[in-house]
Amino acid sequence: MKHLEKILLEYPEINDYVIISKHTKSAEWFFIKDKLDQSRRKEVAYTTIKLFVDDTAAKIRGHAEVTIYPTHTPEEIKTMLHEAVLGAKLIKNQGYALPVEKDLEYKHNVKENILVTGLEIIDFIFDTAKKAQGDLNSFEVFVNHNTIEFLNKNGLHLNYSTQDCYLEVIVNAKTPTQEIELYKEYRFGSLNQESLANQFNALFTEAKDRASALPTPKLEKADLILSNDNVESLLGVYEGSTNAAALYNHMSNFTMGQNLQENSQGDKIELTMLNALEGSIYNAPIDNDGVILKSTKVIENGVFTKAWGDARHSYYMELEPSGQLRNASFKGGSKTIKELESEDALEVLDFSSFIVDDSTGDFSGEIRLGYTIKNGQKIAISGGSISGNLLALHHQLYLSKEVQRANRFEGPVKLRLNGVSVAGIQ
Amino acid sequence: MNVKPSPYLTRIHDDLKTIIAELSIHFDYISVLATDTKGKSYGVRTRSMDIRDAMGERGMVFRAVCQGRVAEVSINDLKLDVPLDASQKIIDLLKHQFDQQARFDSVLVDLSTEESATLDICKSYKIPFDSKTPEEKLNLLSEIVKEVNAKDERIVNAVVQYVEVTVSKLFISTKKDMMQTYPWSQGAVVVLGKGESGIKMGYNSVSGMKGLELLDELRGIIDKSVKNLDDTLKATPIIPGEYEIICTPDITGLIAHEAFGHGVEMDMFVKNRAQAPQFINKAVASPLVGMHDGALVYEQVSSYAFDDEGTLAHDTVIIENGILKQGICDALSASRLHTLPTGNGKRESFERKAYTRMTSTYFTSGNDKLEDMISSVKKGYLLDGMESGMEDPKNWGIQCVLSRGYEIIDGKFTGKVVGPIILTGYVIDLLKSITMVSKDVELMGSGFCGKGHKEWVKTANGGAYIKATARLG
Repeated sequence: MKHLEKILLEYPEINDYVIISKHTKSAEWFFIKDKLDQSRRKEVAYTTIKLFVDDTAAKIRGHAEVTIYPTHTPEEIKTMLHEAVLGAKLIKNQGYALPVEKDLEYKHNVKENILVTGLEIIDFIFDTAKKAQGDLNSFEVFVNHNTIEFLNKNGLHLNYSTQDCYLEVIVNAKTPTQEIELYKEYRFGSLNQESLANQFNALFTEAKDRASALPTPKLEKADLILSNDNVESLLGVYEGSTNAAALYNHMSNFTMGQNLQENSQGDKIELTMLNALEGSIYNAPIDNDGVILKSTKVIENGVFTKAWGDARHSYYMELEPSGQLRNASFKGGSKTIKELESEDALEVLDFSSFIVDDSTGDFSGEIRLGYTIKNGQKIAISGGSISGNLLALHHQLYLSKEVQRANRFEGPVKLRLNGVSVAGIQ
Repeated sequence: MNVKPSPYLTRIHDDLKTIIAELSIHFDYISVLATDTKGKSYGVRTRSMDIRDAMGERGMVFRAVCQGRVAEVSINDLKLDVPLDASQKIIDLLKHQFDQQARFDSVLVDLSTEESATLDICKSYKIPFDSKTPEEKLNLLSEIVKEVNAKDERIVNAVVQYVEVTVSKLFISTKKDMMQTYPWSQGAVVVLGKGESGIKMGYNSVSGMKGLELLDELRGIIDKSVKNLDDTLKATPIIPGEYEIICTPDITGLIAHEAFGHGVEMDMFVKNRAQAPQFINKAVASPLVGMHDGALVYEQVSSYAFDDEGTLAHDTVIIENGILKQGICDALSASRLHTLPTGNGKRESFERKAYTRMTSTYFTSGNDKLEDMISSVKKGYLLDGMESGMEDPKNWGIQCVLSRGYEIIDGKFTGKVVGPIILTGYVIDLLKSITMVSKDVELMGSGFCGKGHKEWVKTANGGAYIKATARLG
């Protein structure tokens, strides 16, 4: 890293630079039923350099980013950095400053144990499936250990390491007439066996429900109940639309100070973007610009109080930068899950893909597994789709009191949104 | 003019041959894919701009088979100056995996029947990427942004993106020695505007195995992008139901990709995750429907000479006259299914596993005229503006999200626009409902395709205008 810094210092016109080196060791396993498809090992290193060039008189700042690979020759690196400096001079963005933050103590080192962790996860998956008598179709396990070094022009120099895991799991269920599958993915920093076992058990139960599900009825409109990761996806509109870059680039329908849920009959959104959340793979001391990450209250009682985001766009919006935070915490609501489910509704547990547009609030998805709730009775359904716009409907949004924590998200386990369109089958 | 081969791959070629020869003593099969792909992305928005590296990779992935078991090593810091040391490092990483694999039963493969091949191919473009300076490219994009912004006072942000990529890959096994270099580029004009219902977006894109000639095509989509925004701002929610639909080639391609492309990826057959095997040589679509996939069929963003497992590119007929003929297949799945690979083994990068993936996937043309198709609709929509799609090969479901539907009543456009729209249904019902197909086939390749929710690769999709019946919500 020092050799790269030495080259950068040869260019007096570079006003700021950030060098991030990341070395990753990974172990990966791919299973079909209980047999191994293949295993993989990975060892890769990358260094990204972001450099900034100012035209102080014109109040303009340009930047360019390059990625250096270990096999680049010294000549190639010199050429790439030279071209990056020329490129940064061409970029005419409104001027901004990166905060000068050089006194940060951060000691976070995770011992590399990708093989032990991976095999522990594999044993856990087989064990849980066996206990639940679930039909495991296939799964993939990825365990990564990352060693990160950060250096910027202000002298901030950090070394730390992290470990993260990713699982993709496909399960089947059968009836005499058909076999179906459900697909789930999980990301976490460390294995919480109890929590993951609960999620797997629920997945096997849901697969059995889907296998015997009836076609979605033609409802046209329904009150929608969402749970788990779909809650995170939908509430992501509030994260995306309060980001400083989205506001600056007019990609948000929100304005700071706005009461987002005026005349709401339901629960008011409370959102805090966090620098750390237990078990999240996105916990870090700083963002890619070297801004120390600061947890920020973004929406309080439905009112958009403060935008969050990177140094550049926060500067443009005349805000103290929070840094590019990755973890979100939403406060639970006023009703228990039992109360949310006490009135007639359409509950969707699993979509083919739940599509949410963070800018517009539009959402839609094909129903892989849902339940109609009528007079307190739940009937499994599948097929058809739901669609709507969160911003048009969030005056009737209800959040569960019960909260979940999954990787980067903390928030209600379930939500209820009234008046959603349903394209049923029969 | 031909693109230039990677000096890095040329430099390491002989060392890799030496290493493969050494490794072949230890394993039943051994290969290496080395990559050196360079790309730049230029983005200009109403209030900002940037240049950054895009789609780049440089590294190698070794694949070994030992007693039918498969292990791989992806690495980008292998020091080749002492090839024997490099060989030993790879041997250690592979052998350790094979030792560990003894804990499990494996789905075995046999790659000993790999055919011999030698290739050295550099594809061409009309105008080389370096025939304009970065400054000239940024100026051109800035002019487009200015032109877009002047078109409509409701526009709050115009985003013009241009990406140029040169892909270089070297594949060596004991029987193969192949190198290829090819370009692709893509661009998009994205327009954000504010209407009564808030911020909405319209866009259009261009792509291809092209050089800087693509920049001229970018100018050609300005008006269409602005019109798409105007239509999206006008759009009202659709009343859910079943409708007659006419799909633009963009949407036809999305259906081809999601409905049948993913459904015939044969690694899904190995896992029993697709219904397609039960339908081989059976009718799965209207007799008007033909469908192909292959890196050979069109010069688009995924038109290579060999795939990431060293299989030569194919043109695979998937559906012919409505009959499902065959799927597409990677090398490991082909071995497990006792069939031949079709050149569809693709990796997101050298860092990732190879899966069966699509290349250029399209429905073949028909004989109908678009105006006849429109006039035949009693009540329905012309669908346009691809946003996303999702496959469900196990249950042959389809999900396509689209920006806009233009209402047609009694054969005439009413001027009403609906959107966004989600199209869902059972794939075979949808494809059997196709009653008309137009003549002109177009392919688009500006998006990315995932396997599940990861493993993003470039693919191109398309077809002609089709008329069908579908459930919209």
